Amino acid sequence: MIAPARQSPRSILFSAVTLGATAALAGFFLLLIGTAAWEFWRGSFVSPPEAGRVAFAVRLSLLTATTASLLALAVSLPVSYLLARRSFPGKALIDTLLDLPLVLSPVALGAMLLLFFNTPSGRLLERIIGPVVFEVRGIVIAQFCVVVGLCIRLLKTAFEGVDPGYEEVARTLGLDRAATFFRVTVPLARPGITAAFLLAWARAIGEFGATVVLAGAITFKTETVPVSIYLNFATADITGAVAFILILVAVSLSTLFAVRKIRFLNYG
Amino acid sequence: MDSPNLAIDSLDCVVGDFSLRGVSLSVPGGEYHLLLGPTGSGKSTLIKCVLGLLSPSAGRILLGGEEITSFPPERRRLGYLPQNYALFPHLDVEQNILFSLKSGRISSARAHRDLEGLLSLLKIESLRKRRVRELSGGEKQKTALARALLARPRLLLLDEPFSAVDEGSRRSLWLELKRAAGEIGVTVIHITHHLDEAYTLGERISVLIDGKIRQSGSREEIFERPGSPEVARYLNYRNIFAGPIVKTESGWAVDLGHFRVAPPGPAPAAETAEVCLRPQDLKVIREDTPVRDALRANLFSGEIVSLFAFPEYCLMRFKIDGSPRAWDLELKFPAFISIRHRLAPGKRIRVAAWAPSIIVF
Repeated sequence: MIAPARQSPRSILFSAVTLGATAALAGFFLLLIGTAAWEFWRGSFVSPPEAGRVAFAVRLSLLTATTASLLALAVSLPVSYLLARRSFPGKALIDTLLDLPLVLSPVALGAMLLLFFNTPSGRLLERIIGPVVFEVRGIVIAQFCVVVGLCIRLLKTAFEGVDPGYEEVARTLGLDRAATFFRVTVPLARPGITAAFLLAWARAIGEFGATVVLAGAITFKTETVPVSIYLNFATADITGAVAFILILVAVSLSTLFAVRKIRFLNYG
Repeated sequence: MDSPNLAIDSLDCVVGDFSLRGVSLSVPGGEYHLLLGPTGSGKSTLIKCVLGLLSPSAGRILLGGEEITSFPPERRRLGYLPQNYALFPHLDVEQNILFSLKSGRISSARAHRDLEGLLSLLKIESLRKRRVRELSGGEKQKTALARALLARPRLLLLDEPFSAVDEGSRRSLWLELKRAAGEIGVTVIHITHHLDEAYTLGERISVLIDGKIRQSGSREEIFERPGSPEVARYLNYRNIFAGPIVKTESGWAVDLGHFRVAPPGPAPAAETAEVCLRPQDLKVIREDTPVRDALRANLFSGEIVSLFAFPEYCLMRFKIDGSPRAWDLELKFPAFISIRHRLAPGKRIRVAAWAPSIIVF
């Protein structure tokens, strides 16, 4: 019998470090979720959260996040296609500028939005689309601004994954640029587009910083799920806060699972 | 099917570091034209200019007398078979073939009628509902061909159409492709870097090297009379020599020091000339055999340096008496020659070139 090759102490140590770090981190996050769940189970007998307020926040979050991410998707589709396919002067500059909301603190973004809506051009925009500051529209705009950068980034990757050869053939078969985009590029990029929408949506559901600055934290008016967590903690209602936390965890985890499934849907 | 002439006039096109320069080419309607050239010579760039997928920086493209240089691809009505076929993976075979219906430029009734005709012409009726990823290379090629033909193109451009087909099925598919194009009567420009493919399929051939058309002509002209040493080298011809022209009793010759090559016809009006003795045109002649007149002017004595046997032929390297080089001539002949003459390295033989087969550049 041949003995298995002995591993050097260095490589044993290396395996231990990689496995150990992964296990520790995963365990830590599981512990966080477990703690929240335990808090909820223990506290919900003592002071159950107000069902009406929970329902309002969940409904508002779903409405605003869906609207904001659909808007972001609609705007990102042409922008990311342009960035993926064309080169033009100043492209790198524009690309960087559009990445800004991806890394900028959402509070700073919210504050910039609030300042903007106090200028003449901001007020003109409010006259066209209706009042924004401390309104539901403000939530949508804040979420839109936070997720649009993410959307563009993900869609650009999706479009870059479509071989331009397919588009070239479609053009020779009589389709103009627009028809080629809708008949070839979009169907081929569909898994990536769906994933981009879901990730943007999940990010919008969890958005807090920009929302709270632009739309405020007004109960039964601009109280989204993350705002609720903040308000409940501020009034020391731990059970209420935990209920919302668990909702967010459930939404985020199921989105991530869905995205993983979609990424497997590859043509080829 | 109407098959107009294609005329390309002094076309320049720059893509990154590469450029096509002054490309002119004319293809009469109904012709099966081979565009032959090494990888990276600009063949794909040239057909992408014709298709409108790349914009030339100068020159004109005319189809049936109409200038189409600035037309967008969708208005040119040209069929295109890209190298990897680019079948749409989200559609099945039939949907792929019917794709041009989405342009709204052809009627549904006609498209479905043509579909049946193309499926039976290419013998792919059974593939209709198959997914693209399940197809073999040859089936993909035929599906892509049907897709291009359904739009009734005025010209068909094939970019290395056999690159994704198994070696074993290539040769029979060459003939099938040509038969299908012939039955439809469409003008074809077929790109390849395979000499065999070009020889078998091309009625007329254009050779593109380094972004320039080096020669355009019939198959015989290209292969029997390559127009320049570049073309001859690309065709894998060896025994290309340059030297001063000298007068001889029977005419003229190129003096190469320890031997002379004497081509027929009048001497060119130049000091020097380049000649090529194709390896397949050189004959092995036994020391004891009389020599025919046509061979006598170019008869070389020497010895065999090496012999290489391939499945279909033999290559021999031959050193002429008094040569300072390791070897002078390369010969290519069927394997039985080697047996008949009992050829072996070190053996003394004579080699002759039939004068009319000598290529003078």
